[in-house]
Amino acid sequence: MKRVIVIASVLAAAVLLAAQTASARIKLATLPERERVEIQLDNGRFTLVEEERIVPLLKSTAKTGNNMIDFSWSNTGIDKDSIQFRPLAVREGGKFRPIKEIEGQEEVSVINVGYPPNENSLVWEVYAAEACAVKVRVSYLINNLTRTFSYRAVANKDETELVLRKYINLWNYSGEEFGLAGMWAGFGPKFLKLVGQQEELKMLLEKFDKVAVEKTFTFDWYTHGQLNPAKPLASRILMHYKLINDEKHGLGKFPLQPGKARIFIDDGHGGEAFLGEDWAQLTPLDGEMKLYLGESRDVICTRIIEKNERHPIRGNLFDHELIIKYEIENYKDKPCTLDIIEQINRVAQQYGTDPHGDAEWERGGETSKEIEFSYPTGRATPVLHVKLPARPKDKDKKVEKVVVKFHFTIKNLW
Amino acid sequence: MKRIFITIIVLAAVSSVAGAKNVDLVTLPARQTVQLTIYNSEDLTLARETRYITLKKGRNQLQFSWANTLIDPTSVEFRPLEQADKIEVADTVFPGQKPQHLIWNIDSKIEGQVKVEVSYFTSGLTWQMDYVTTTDPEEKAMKFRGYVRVFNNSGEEYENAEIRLIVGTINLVEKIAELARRRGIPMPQPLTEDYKRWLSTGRFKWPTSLPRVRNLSRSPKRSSRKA
Repeated sequence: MKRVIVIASVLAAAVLLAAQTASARIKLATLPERERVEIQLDNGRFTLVEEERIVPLLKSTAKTGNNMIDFSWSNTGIDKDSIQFRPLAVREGGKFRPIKEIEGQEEVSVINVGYPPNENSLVWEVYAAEACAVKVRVSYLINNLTRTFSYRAVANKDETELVLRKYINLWNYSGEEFGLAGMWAGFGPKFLKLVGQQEELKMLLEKFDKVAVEKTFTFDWYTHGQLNPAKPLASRILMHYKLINDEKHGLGKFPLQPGKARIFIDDGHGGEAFLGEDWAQLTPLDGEMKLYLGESRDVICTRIIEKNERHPIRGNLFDHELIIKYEIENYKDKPCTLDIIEQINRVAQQYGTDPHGDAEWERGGETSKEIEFSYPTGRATPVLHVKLPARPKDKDKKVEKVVVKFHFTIKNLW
Repeated sequence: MKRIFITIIVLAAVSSVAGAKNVDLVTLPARQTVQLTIYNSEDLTLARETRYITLKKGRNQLQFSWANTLIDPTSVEFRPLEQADKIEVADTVFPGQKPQHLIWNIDSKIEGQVKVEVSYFTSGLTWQMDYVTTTDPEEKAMKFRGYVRVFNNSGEEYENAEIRLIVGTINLVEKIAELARRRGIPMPQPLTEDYKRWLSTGRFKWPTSLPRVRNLSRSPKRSSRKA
């Protein structure tokens, strides 16, 4: 049911002024229909609605006064202070032409806005140089008409590519029906949809057919802790799909908004198996999105402190030398790379020293050559990348244990 | 008793609000196959069912309803298994007036019968293993039988279902049973403190007809099956 009404009053000004008061009961009014509605969904909380109507106006004269246009709403979440009225064009010979100036004054213009007390309505006093039909745009912010985003990702069997669908979910509990309305979320396609009251709409915003994806395995002792009491030196290994929001990786059309992502995998028999779900974070263009898949049961890593020595320099100043040994087994049929996150500051703290800011450290000569290093979050948190071979094809053969060492010295501690 | 229905709305007027209609003429395509993948780490089952539907060229409306079941409405998906490049879901509408009900607006470039898959998550289906062993008199060998017991409290009967049982953990960010109790798409994020302050100024009036969270009144039904 429509609850937003624009009334163009056709009575004389004196009567209309009286109509603004609560005591006026007799009104004669025309009810211009909505010609067009545009809904802007850029902001998750405040939605901008712009509607165009054609309003008949009388010529403003000293005797009859100006036109009074009443805009009222009930049980809708319209922000009263946001309502704007803009005359756009005047009908002339069956066509609309832009508003023009006559003797230095626009031929149609808003003189003032009145807010009747205790009513969800307002009255625009509009000047018209001549009697005409004018196309006006009424815009306002409305609440409870909003959107969320969701994703559906289907990985191929090799987990190297995804088919990623991004949906927009429109949610109309604003109290108003908009009929056929143009909708735009600020990016992607524009939709022309019927938006009913208390209706929810789910629409495919974009389908990305070949999104390059990297499956990552992450070991972070200080964040995830012990795997279980039976394996006190092993820690949980978390699996993620890593996507880059750029054209090279099959995305890059617009920023990816936050939303729930449900992840499936091609089961190789024409169907899909459900892998899990995660909240996708806002990912700007060229940014990285990580979707959590759960804990790995196929890759096991044990972390052993092999060397732990203090070397005094002078006074209470010393260096702390450590060798951390990692024993890794990959029970997967495919090779993979394990990312080991070492937090050097936490290492120093664990052995009783405050590094006073980011720890200064240097790599030792016993560090395994197979390890590749990167520093995505700063030098104090190196990430060690270790390549692991697939398990032997012969099921009776034992899985090869990959052993690597990280030798480093934390400098100038006190 | 079956509570999940898929219906093709015959009088599909493109310009009308589907949810506003109270009188529909519909056809009811029967379920051909159903596959249930039951996870035991979460109250989660992935159901996939195939049906044949007849489409006409242009816009078609397909209605799916699941009264008194525990289906997560956000998970319901429609997928054509034939001529997929000629059939497209334009949008999915959750009409406010009809809970546990959705309408797919489907654009078809073909006319005729097609096989489609409808998949969704439901809660209420669980499984557990039982073992029976019988040793020989010398206690050196034994017969070992494993039984799976499937419990169906989902509110829906699945006849001749192919059942897959999954061991291991799965990451869910929301419980399926909670989503099933909500209507349609989950509500957007909670209001910020600034916005709550703005609301408290009194210039804002909430709609009188806010969405209600509907409680499912279903009688618990427990059935078991040994395989």
